[in-house]
Amino acid sequence: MKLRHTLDEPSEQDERCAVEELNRRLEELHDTPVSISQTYWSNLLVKTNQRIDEASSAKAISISWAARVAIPGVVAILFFFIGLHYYAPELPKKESSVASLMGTLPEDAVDSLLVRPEQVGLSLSTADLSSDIFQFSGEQITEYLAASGNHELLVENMDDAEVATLLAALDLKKNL
Amino acid sequence: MKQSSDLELVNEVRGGKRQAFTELMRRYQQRVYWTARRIVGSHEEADDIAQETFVKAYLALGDFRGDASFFTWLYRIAVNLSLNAIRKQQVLGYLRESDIINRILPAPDNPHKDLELEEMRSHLDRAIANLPEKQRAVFVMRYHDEMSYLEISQVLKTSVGGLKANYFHALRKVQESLKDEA
Repeated sequence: MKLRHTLDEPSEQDERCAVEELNRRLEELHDTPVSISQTYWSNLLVKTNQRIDEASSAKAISISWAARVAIPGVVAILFFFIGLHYYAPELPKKESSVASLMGTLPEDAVDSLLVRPEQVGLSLSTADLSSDIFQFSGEQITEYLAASGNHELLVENMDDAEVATLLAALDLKKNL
Repeated sequence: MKQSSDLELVNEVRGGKRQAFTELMRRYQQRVYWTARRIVGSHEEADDIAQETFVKAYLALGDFRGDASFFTWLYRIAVNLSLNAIRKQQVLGYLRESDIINRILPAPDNPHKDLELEEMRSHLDRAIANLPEKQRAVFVMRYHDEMSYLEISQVLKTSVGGLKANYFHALRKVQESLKDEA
């Protein structure tokens, strides 16, 4: 590569000779360079200044537009998406309905649940029920057993005071 | 009254004094115009390039770091714009040859117009127009503007050795063109 440079690169002497030869030829040709009047240069100054004004105002408009509209717009959109990503409201978990839950239970269990059927609608969800849904009060058990005609079991479930109250009630009914 | 240096004027422009840029234009507009004119070969294009050079320089003055002189920086803008203009001319010329442009553009009113314009140019300008773009730029900078190879290498961002070879080839080709004209 270096060899190529030394071969291609002409010496100063070569260059000077070539320039002198060119100048001599141009003199022979009486070559006259094109001249331009002073008015043109004055006009060029004015025209250039006008173009600078136009270009500067265009640049200023684009900067002010960016400052007023584009940048706040982009920032707002960014914030929106960031907010959407981090603070998206969670959809409520869909609760299974009592009806579907009951469908999965064995028949005996369903019977035990339907102590007060008037309170259980199809639209009722498990979220509406209290957590101690499978714990029944003594009164609820008594009502269920009485309604189902299972008197022996009913009496077994009664305490002594209740049995006494029941017997007293039966005696009263007999006397009447 | 002491004349301000280019750098002082540049700093004044940066400080908001627009008049200082007009002074810079007054100093260099002729050199910028003639450089562009010799590279592109036509007055109209050189006029446009001269204006565009100063517009670009004014808008990019904040990027001027002062590593090279202001004129070298300005000159680089002018030469690059001129070389771009030549490339456009070449593309257009190729398209004209391929008859596409002739079908799109209307025919000129005066068919001798190009010939007249050609006659308005000096023998030397016509010879320069025959050079390849790189040699044309180097020739104009070295022969007409008498710039040193170091300055030219700063403008064109090429090695000094390559520039010397380019200039020598350009001198030879111009001589050949002038012989043909004679």
